[in-house]
Parts: sequence; C-alpha cells; structure tokens
Amino acid sequence: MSHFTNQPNRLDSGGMIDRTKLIEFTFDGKKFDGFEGDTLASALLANNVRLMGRSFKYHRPRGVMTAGSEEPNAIVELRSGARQEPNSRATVTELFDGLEARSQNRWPSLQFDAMAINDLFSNFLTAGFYYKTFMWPAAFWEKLYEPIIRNAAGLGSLSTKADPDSYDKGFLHCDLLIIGAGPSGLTAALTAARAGADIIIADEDFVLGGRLTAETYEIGDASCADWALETIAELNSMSNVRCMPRTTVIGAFDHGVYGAVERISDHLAVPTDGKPRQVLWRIYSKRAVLAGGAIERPICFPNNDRPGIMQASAIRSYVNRWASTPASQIAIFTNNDNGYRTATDLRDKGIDVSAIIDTRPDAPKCEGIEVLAGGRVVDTSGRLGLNAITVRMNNGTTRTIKCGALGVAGGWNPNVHLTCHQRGFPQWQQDIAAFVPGGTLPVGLGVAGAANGQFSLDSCLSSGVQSAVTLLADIDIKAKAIKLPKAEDAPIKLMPFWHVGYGKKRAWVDQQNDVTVKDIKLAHQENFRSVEHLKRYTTLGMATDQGKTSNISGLAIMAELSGKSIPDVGTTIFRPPYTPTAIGVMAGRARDRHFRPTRLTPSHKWAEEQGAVFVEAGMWLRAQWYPQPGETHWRESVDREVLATRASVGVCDVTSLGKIDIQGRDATTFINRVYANGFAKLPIGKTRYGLMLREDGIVMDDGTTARLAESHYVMTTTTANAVGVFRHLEFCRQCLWPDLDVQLISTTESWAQYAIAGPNARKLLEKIIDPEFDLSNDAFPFMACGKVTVCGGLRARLFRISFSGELAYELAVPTRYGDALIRRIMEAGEAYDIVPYGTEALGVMRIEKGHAAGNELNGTTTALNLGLGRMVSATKDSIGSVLSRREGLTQKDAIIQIGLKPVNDADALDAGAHLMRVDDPVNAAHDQGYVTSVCYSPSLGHAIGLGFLSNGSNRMGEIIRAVNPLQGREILVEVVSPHFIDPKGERLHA
Amino acid sequence: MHDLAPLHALGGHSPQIDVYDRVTLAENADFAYVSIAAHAGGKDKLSKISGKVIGVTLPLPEQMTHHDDISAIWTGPDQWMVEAPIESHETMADDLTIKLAGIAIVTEQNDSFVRFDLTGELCVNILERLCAVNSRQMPYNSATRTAIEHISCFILHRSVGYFSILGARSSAKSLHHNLINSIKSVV
Repeated sequence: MSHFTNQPNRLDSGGMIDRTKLIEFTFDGKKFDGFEGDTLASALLANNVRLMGRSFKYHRPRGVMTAGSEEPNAIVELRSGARQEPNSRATVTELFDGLEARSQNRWPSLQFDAMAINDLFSNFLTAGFYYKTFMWPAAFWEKLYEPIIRNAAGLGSLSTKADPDSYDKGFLHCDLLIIGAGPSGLTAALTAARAGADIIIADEDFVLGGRLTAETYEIGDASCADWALETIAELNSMSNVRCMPRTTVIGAFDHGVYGAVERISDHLAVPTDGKPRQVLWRIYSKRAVLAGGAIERPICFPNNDRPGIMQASAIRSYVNRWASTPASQIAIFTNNDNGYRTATDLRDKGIDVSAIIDTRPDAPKCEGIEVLAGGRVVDTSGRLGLNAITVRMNNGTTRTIKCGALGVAGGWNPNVHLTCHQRGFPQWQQDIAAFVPGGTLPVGLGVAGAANGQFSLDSCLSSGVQSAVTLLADIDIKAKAIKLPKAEDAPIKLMPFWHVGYGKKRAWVDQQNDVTVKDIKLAHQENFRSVEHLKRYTTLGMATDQGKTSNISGLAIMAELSGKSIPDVGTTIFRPPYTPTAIGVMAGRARDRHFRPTRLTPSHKWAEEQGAVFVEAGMWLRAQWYPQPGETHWRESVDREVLATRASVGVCDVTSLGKIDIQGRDATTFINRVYANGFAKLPIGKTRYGLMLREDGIVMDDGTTARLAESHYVMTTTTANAVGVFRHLEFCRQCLWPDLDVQLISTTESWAQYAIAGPNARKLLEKIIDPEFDLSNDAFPFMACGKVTVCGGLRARLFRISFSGELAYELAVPTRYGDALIRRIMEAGEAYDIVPYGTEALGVMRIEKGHAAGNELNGTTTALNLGLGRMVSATKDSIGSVLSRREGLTQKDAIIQIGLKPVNDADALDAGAHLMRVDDPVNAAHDQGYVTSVCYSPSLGHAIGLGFLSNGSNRMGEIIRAVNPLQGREILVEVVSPHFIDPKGERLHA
Repeated sequence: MHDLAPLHALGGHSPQIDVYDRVTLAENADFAYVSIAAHAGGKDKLSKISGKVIGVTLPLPEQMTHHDDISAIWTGPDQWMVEAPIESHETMADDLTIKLAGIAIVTEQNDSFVRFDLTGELCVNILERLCAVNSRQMPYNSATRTAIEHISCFILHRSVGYFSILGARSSAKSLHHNLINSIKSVV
C-alpha cells in the first residue's frame, strides 16, 4: 500500500500533507514518523496503530472513532514535565517534531491493562451501580470505598507543576462572526466580505475548509478542496476579513458576545519567546452565523467499540485529507446513502472494501462493492483491534466478514451546541431524523448549512450566502448574493436506525463514559426515563466530549423503550465551553503576582532602598516596617519606630489613604448629607473627623475632610475603603441627589502625602515649609489645613491631623515630587533622629491612641458601638442616621469600644478572642464581646488591645477573661479606656 | 523656585522608552492635566468661552480637540480633561480655577495619570489584547474609557498609528507590564 516503509498505512498519493517534511514523534515511548499536516490520530493510523486508549470504566481497548473534536476514545496525554496535558484528543492534536504522546488510564501498558478486569465484572458496574453498592458497612465508605474509587476514576494525570506557559485574553469586534469555515461558512464569509462588512471567520481546525478538506466533491470545475483554497485565499487578501484557524468558538453569551480560544502555540514544542500558548478572545459581534456543520452519528451494535470501528465520514477524512487509512480492508455499515461515499472514495483509492452492510432492505447498488441490503452488524472480533464483523443477513442467516476497519454511517446530527447556550431547545426534524436548532437562539445568531440540517453541498453553499445577506440586512449592510458554482445536491436518503437489537452482547452508546444500550434499558426499567434523569443516572453525555456522538442515539433508544417518539422524549441542551478548555486561558495573564495590579506609593523606590518590608493594602504596596542592621525580628523594628516617633519625630507615607476632591456650589450640603456628623459650619482652613454610615445605620468608613475653600473640600478615606467610598459618593451624587451642583474626583494618585508625627514634627517642618508660612500653634492649630509651599516654592497642602496621637501633620505635594520630598524630609530630620515608620508602627500607635480602624469598622458596628454615638447628628438628615436609631442598635447593653490590658503584663492578647465574665461558662449565651485589635505597646511595655464589650463604657476597671477556644488560650484582662496614650490630647495640641 | 527633582511614574528620572519591531511604547511625562467640569447649568457658557480661556474648544463625547499644543478630551457628561505641556502649564489648574470661577470646577490631575504613547503599525493588534475598545474603528482624535487588567484607562487615538493610554499613575508598573506583555505577544 505504501512506499513509506515506516508508515505502512500511508497512501502513496493525495492528502493535504507535506511529504517533504517528515516529523518524528513518540507514542508510549515508541518512535513514529508522520508528515506536516498530520494530526496525531492520522499519523498513528498511517503507522498502523489503531489501539490508542482504554475506556473509562471497563478499560476496553479503544481506537480513534472520529476525525474531529467530538472524539470520545483517542484521548491521550501530551508532552511531559510541566507541560504535560492529559485528556487531549489525538484527532485534533497537530503533529510537530518531538511530540510526546502517551496513552492513559491503563496499567501497566496499553496492550495489557490489568484494570481490564473490570470488564469481567461489568454486570456489577452497570448504570447507577454506585447508588446501589458500597452501602455496607457504612464506615468503609470514607476509608476504603471512596479512596479506591477515586484512585480508579479519571483518565489522565496532571503534572502538578505550575504551568510554564502564558495565556492572553483579547477583544475583537466585527459586523459578522462566522463560526465554522466549511462550505456554508466560506460562502457566508465571501458574501459578507465582498459587501464590505467587517468579518471574522473562525474554525477550530488548523486548516480552513471544514468537510471540503475531506471530501471528493466538485464545485464547478474544481475539486471542493481547491475551491476552498481559492476562497480562503480571496478572504485572506481582504482587509476587512480576519481568518482565524485553530480557533474554537466555545460559547455564545449575551449581547452578541462569543468566547473563542485561539491556539497560538499548541502546534509547537515550546511557545516562541514572549508568545502565549493560547488566547481567549471575547468577540463582540453585531451578528453571527453558526456554520459548525454536523457530526456523523454511530449505530449501536454489539461490541461496536473495538479499535478500527469508526465514523464512515472519519475514514473518508483520513483517506482523503491525510492519505492515511486505518486498514487495508474496510467494511461499511450504513443506514443512508452518505455511507456509500466512504465506500466509493476508498474503492477509488484502491482500498479493499469488503462490503457495504446497509440496514435498508432496498439499498442501492454500488459498482464494484458488495452491498448487503437489510443487513445488520451483530458482533465483531479482534482483541486489540477489529479483524472481522458478523453480519446478520436480511434472510436471517449470519456471515462473518474480514476487515480491519468498519465505517459506520448512522446519519448526521447538526452541531446545535452553540444554539443552546442561552437555553434554546433544538427541534426534531423528521426528514433527516435529527434535532436542528430551535427555540430561542442567542440574539443575532443565524445558522447555516449542515448545522441547520441542510446536508447537500449545494444547500450548504447557498444557505451560507443567504444567511449572510439576511443577517447583514439587519444591521443595514446591503450584501449581494454571490454567484455559486454548481455542486452536489443529492436528496437525503436515510432510514432511521439507532441500534441493533440482536444478541446479548453489550453495545456502546457513549464510548467515552462506557454507557451501553443495556444501561439505558436499565435506566428505563428503573424509571429514570426523562432525558435529564437518563443523563445523570447513566452518565450519558457527561464526559469531556459532552456526548457529541452519543446523546441522540441514547435518546432514540430511550424513545424506543418508552414507546414514544424522539421529540416526545426531548433532548438535553449544551452549555459552554464547546470543547474542553484550559483553565489557564481563562486566567490569562492574571496569575501569581500579576493576579491583580499593584499600586506603588511615591516613596516606594526610596523605601526599597531602605530595605523596607512591604505589605499589600487595597492593592497598594505599603512599607510595613524598615529593618535596621542588627534587628532580627519585626517587633524590634516596630518597637524602635514607635518609640523614636513618640520621642522625637517619624515620617510615614500615607498617600494610599483615599483622597476625594469635592467641589461645587452644593459641596457643603453634599458632605453634610453623607457624613453623620455636622459639616455645615466647618470653617475654611479647618479639617474635621467624619463618620460615614451605610443606609442601614452601620458605620461604612471614617476619615477627615478638609475645607480648602468655600466650595472645595478634600475628603480622606481609609486605604482599603477608598474605592468603595468613592463609588458610594458617586451613587449619592448621580442617583440620590442629581440636583446638587457637586463634582467628585479621586485625587489619591495626584498627591504624595506624608504623615510627620512626634514632638519635633513642627521643628522639622519648619525646615521644609517655606518661611512665610507660620506653623505656630496659634497660627496653625490642631485640625488646621491650608495651602503652603515647600522647598522654595513647590505648591503643597498641609493638614494638622494625627492618627498617632502625637503632634502631627500630613504634608502633600504633587506626586512626582514625592520621592524627592521624602529624601529631603529624612535629610532635614537627621538632627532630630527621624525615623521612617511603616504600617505596623502606625497600627501600634493608633491602638495606643484608641483610634478605630478596619478591625473596628468591620461592617457590623455602629457609631454607638464605637463610642461615637453622639456624633450622629439628630439635627440634620444624613445617610443612615434614621436607621442607626433602630431599637436593636441602641440597646442599653450594646457593645461599646473599650481598651483591654492583661492583668499579667507578660500575657499576650489574641485578636478575635471573646470576652467572658470571670465566672461564666464559655459559650455563646454568655458572650460579652470580642477583641478586635491587639499589639505590644512599646510605650507601655505590655500588650494592649481594643475590643467591644457589652455596656463597656460603664465597666472600666472590671477584670474579665479573653478566651480563645480555637487555640486553647485564656487570660485575665482589665477593662480600660481605649485611649492608652495621652488621653487628654495634650500631645496633639502641643 | 523649588529644587525638588521629579520622579516619573515608572521610577526613573527620565521617561522609559521601549522600542520593538514596528511598535514603540514610550512613557510621556511632558504634559500637565486638569479636569474641568461645568457647574450645573454652566455647560453652554463654558463651551462658549473655552477657546479663549482654556486655549482649546471643548469636544463632543468620545472626542478630543487640539489647538497648538493644548488638547481637550471628553471624559464624561459635562466633563473634560485638558492636556498641555507641563513645562509651561504645570500650574494650569490654579490659573484656570481663577479664570473659570463660577463657571466650572477645576481639579489638578498632573500626577493622577501615567501616559504611555503607543506608536507604530501594530498598535491595534496590541490594544485588542488589552481592552474591549474597538480600537480598529476608533477615529483619529477620539477618546474613550476602558479597563486594562483591572486598571481604569483612557485610550486616545491621536493619529495614524499613534495611541495614548492614560492609566492610574500608582499602577504605572503594572500597566507597563501588561502593555509590554501584549507587545511581546504580537510582535
């Protein structure tokens, strides 16, 4: 048959392969040759390898069944190391030099699989066996049965290594998306392209053309393959056309959006440097046409799963497109005329066709080939590959026919998958005995060609044209129907035939999930008769192929058993993705440290130079502490930073706090409504602490707001809530009070802001701020704010506010000068032994001062809980003020923020610990509150904490317990004021 | 005159430029920005005087206008952003606050954004790996808002093969990382 001694089943001529480009690959460690243009399946068949895998449940020997993405059997593991990928379909795996492929789900080898013993116990492993077995003894389930079943289940294996490849996500736009580049897709594309529409034509195959690449039809005077090449060449030459081979449209989503995966590098051993392995495209289409073709369905007959038993159309594909035959002697089992095409194509290529077994008693004749009219295949033989079939003749006798492959042609199922993604239910079409797209299709989607049940080549070509014309007319693009050459237009001659009823041997319906006709009968017998029950009870159609070759056969058999018609039984529908999709492509570039963007503060570069340790806060990377030589523990650094700041001066980058510019004639009214406390009388040049409530009266956020001018405020928010607060304010502005003259702009990015805290803060600032600005306590008192200039004229803003409890300021300059300013501050502060301090020291100082932060503003607490109940003004209306006065939120024994110190100074406090009276049992009924924030206070020399305690403000001095049942810890603590440092605020006002 | 040296968004004292085959990505720190929003009911008056006061007429939605080296970009209903050379316009916000008092609200945005200029014949191929904007169909002098890997950005189509991407300054490195990845994917 072949001159290629290494490829005994390679035909001497033909095929869309490049015979000058030999490719070496391995399968189960054995070396083989193929050609450029081959798939793994076509190359293996050319090498006379029919056995490619083992079945899921019974470990039956299996070979390739199809030539496309619907393949249920030839599922292999590709590559090795971190790039190892299980469950890959050999039928769509493009061959490349060095490809490593391995069979899976077998031990110790594909030829001899010990787990095939399951096949002997098939009577115990029928549909729903796991619902009926492993019931006793109950204790065995978790420790014995489940581990064994889990170990036995599954197909391939994961490398467990991180994926070394990268993936992109992208966005495309078009007037018309054409899904499928077969005959109808190509004519739709040509029609639309010539009309000037922007089109995308996508096909999962690496060669465009669909069935035209696998058939021997003629279109006009050219072979259909040549016509396809010419058409594709024209499309590729047009600037308004984007041809996308290797691109699978995996889902149809709302508003004409389609998901498509483009395989950029899967045909290469390793992606080119910088290139992604795959791209997930989101295609925004004004209109789309599904031209996805149809899938030939098998007929179920006893032992129909041996390697070599294939779709008749797949054999045609292998022979015509890849010049690769599965065997030298092939038989055909058909119920329609289309099966004869395979027979005649094989005959014309000199391959021995043993016979055509046609279920129709009035089967047509076929020149040079014996036709067994009214015949049925009732058994097959061959342990690891087909060597003969047994045929029950129309007269009741049986006959054995030798063959290495059997092409099965049971009719065609339109590829309705994408039409179901928005719950469109396919409808039965009797003349082709198949479901066609029906119900509510995704908006803007049309269907053409075989996907719509139009099976002749002529009707495919013309329906593509018509679809394009109609769909484009919807969007006001006039497209002229292109003139089509003459093509095959034979009528559909098919006698529905789903399964052979003779014999007791098993006949497979779903080959990937090992579901047999017998399983369907059992489901029927046990009353799991609805399609949804049938699917779940038998697992029909639930494998990675989603039952592309099995669903309809299963439904038809159930219909027969139920005495109903197929449409009465109904069908299940599909959901995305159309074919198995790598999780990596869903993530795109958003992985590891690039999972989300980071935000860097203006002092980041300088902080890095200081060796700062960073922490992520609201996507900002903030310096957590600045280790000094000799410090071996973070606490040493933090304690030093706190003590130095309280002793002299420290500086902290607080740029990340949200800064919202609020301007407009009604800015004051606006702020007065969003804050619970009064802002109407805030003077210009002053800052005020503000408490913002949610509608339900719970505290949303806090911060300070400075009034820079009559109608110009700057609101600060917590770092973590900056986006949420801005969104809330925009909602208030646009939806609640659109009549107010207010504008909001986030200026967080615009200003580099530093907190300068400590007794020497003023002295330090006097070196930075230009001398014409008076920083004395009288001229610039606590909570003052204003515009200043620094370092000889740079515009800046100064706020006298303090989170640490010290004399403190926040100084803001345009961000680009933030780096220079921190260096200048450190330089000027040398005389005062200035320290930079990070978020840990910041946190310690705020706990020492008793300021609430994220742990206290935790989405469950009210102003009353925070000890700020009086701030909620009763003399004005503001968001949340009414609901904050609800009975349930104002009970006398409400939890109130308090301070806690261990009775024994050596004890540590646990955040999250619950507070209990000394003599009460530890349970929820006696819970008195909980600890929110804890730290070691270097200023006091022991641990301190903040928490919420029932009636807390009246329990100062009480000794209670802080219990941590999770970690088995408990200590005695004293209830104290939350203001551990400077309770009178003398430092603040210094 | 102060003596503080500016640091650019990517952390250098001079802007970073990345040159690839058929495309160049350049950090551009040469421009000052202010946002201008009309007071309620003041849009017509603002539009009328904008050419004289701001130096450029205000564009319609999704568009931008230019006059000499000043540009105006539509950013939302009754809102625009003005772009001008920073060397001569660093304090533009203060000037316009006075000139547009009672007519429009002015906010300095000089350092709110990092601007990347993407030039070359592959701009569209790169942008389609980054954002949902139909950059292929964007007319010249058009502007739109989008998100690139979670970062809110403005995309400006200035001329043939010349786009600007304005994103949050603090995320400049993340944005740059994404842009470079896409360039490498495409070139």
